[in-house]
Amino acid sequence: MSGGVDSSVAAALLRDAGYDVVGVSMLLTESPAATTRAGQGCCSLEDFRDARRVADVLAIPYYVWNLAEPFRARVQDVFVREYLAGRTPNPCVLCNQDLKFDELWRRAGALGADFVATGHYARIVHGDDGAPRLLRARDQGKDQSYFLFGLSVAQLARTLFPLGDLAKDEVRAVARRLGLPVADKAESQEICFVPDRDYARFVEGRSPQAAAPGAIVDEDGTVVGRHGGVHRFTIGQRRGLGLGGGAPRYVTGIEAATATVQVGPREHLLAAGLVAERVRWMREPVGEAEVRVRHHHPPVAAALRVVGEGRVEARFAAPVRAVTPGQAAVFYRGDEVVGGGWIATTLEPRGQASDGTAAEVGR
Amino acid sequence: MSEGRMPRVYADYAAGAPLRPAALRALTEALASDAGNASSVHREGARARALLESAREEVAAAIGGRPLEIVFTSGATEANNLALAGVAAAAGRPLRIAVPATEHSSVLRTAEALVGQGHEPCILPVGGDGCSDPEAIAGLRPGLLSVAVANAETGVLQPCAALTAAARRSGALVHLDAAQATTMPLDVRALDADLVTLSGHKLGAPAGTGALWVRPGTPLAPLHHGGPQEQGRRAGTESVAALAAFATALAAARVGLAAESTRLASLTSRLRSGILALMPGAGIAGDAAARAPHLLDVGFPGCVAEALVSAFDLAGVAVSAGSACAAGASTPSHVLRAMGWSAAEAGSAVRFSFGWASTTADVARILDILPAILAGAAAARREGVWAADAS
Repeated sequence: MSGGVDSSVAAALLRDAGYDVVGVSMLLTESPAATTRAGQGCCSLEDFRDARRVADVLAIPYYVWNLAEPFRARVQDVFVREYLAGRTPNPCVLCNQDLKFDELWRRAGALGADFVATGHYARIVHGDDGAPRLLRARDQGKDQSYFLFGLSVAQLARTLFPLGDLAKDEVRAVARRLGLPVADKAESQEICFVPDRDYARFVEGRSPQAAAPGAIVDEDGTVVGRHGGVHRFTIGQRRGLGLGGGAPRYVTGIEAATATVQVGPREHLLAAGLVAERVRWMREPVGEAEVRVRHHHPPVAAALRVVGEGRVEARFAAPVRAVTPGQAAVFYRGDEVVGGGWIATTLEPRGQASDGTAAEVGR
Repeated sequence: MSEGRMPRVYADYAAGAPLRPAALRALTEALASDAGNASSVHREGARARALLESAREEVAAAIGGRPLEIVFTSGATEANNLALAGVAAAAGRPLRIAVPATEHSSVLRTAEALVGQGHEPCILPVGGDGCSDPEAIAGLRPGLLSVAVANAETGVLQPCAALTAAARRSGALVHLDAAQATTMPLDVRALDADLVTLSGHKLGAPAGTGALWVRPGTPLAPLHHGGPQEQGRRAGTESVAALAAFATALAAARVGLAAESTRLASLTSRLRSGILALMPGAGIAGDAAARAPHLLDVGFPGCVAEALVSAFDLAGVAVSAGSACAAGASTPSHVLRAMGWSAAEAGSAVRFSFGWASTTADVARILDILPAILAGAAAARREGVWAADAS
């Protein structure tokens, strides 16, 4: 229970369905801030208080468990390493697969819990073979299945998503009907441990050597500027390049080994496909799927091909803008999540024009 | 996970005891008595003053002091703050303040805060038995010594007489924190101390009550400013009804104290034997030291206290671990760390504490559910969870 309306209503619905519900909040930092500004981050003392007050209203036991150490090791440290490697990490996916549905899930199991439930907008249905399937939420606008692709079938079998069939306003209506004190609470949109969105400063705080300067080059390799560390950039970024006037230029590539940031015109952001690594399948591997390359990105049809151990190449039916290494590529068949992995590289569309095959370039 | 219909077992008296029936009666009678402000001139004020002074006499009598030596406070934390900061402010010179490493945070943090006023806290080490060495004080020549009579987590009884004598040789003032010394006789004259802290809610009084006994002539500046209440040492209108309940609870706790101490010692002894029979490697904090009879602090090897406390609570038993952080999670005990326990060992400790309403059935129930809880902890260990926090 984060103290937000979603996990609060999830707990309420399960309690009302007759489950024996125990509320748990994860303490992710040893010294939480006193308050959270509306809509920014979470995990302040105010949020713990909200979660506790909801548990009081629901008359369920409530505990705060200290997960600061595993959160640091498995989410924050990876976040920093990914930025230093020139990628743009997605800590929410990591937090789900390695913390909520791993460490927390196993702690709950050791205490005798049959299920772990969260306030995620996603659905779990059971197929004819009894196996659980992960589906998008009924409310497509709120769907969070992208963040959950890393869950194993075994984890899904002991997971409940009570909000999967509800729209956000229905969730708020339930909260109001039950008198939960968080019914009108603003949503957190940011990465919870960087509420001011200054990711670069967070990375530098954890890794002072991060600020290794380097060159900004255009696509011919001409140096057009200098930068203060590759962790300050993401694919598709336009602001903060310090390149002065002229035609707008975007970050099209980041190479950590040489501390080089490549820029180019907007059309050079298009990718013909991607190669995902550390791919996990929830179903038998498929040859065709719709692929989402970031949260809220409309899925794009793609042909999938296994190209190595845990590596899958996805070739899009139409080019996709700003495909970003470090983000997750999640494979859908209709509403169902069939698998996903981490974007390692993108496939270059311009190569297609010359020799008919896509060239794989490091990004 | 259901606790079914079993009544709950409360084994966290050291955090706060259930209200004694006599204290509840005193509280409600005082609240209903049309008493005014104890500082007012009129009859309603006089009624409040009568309740307050009667409470003051009762508290003084219970600890061998005189009424005007009692300064009522909001609790032991305030009394400890007043003792250290009040003595330091009145000293007129930089004070060296000696405190054992195992003191309550209200003493340790106050001592640290006094650095800003030029005072010098000296943290006394403790041995594996939780006791400080009087020899260590001799060379320090402190101006103030503050020691807990009974440690809040382990119940270890410091050698107060020897520590006090050593501090006296350099002319130090001595403050004793007796907040947790709820189950043993307390005579402020015999203790040779200058200031003694008492807590209400550890005794079965409402929280928000406590007192500092101050030996006449002890230089002590008030913490905050306002009216002349409490002999000018603690401004603010007294919470008369709560203090009446505090005095009643303290008096009740002194009735048949020797027999009650023996009874509580047999409960903790029974629990200790039962735990060691189930888990021979369990570590009893301060096992070699003299301890207050109502406390048992147990390290469960390979377990994480946070998990155990949650599991006990779900099984219907209230216990605690270390101290709670602002968010409500448990943090490993500085007391056990100071006694030489590793972080993992300190993070595995659960405190059981008993009091006036505890029974042998409570202990039996704890021992009944303990095997299942330890089995759950063993399963967690095999799964490798709860592990990272203990490192």
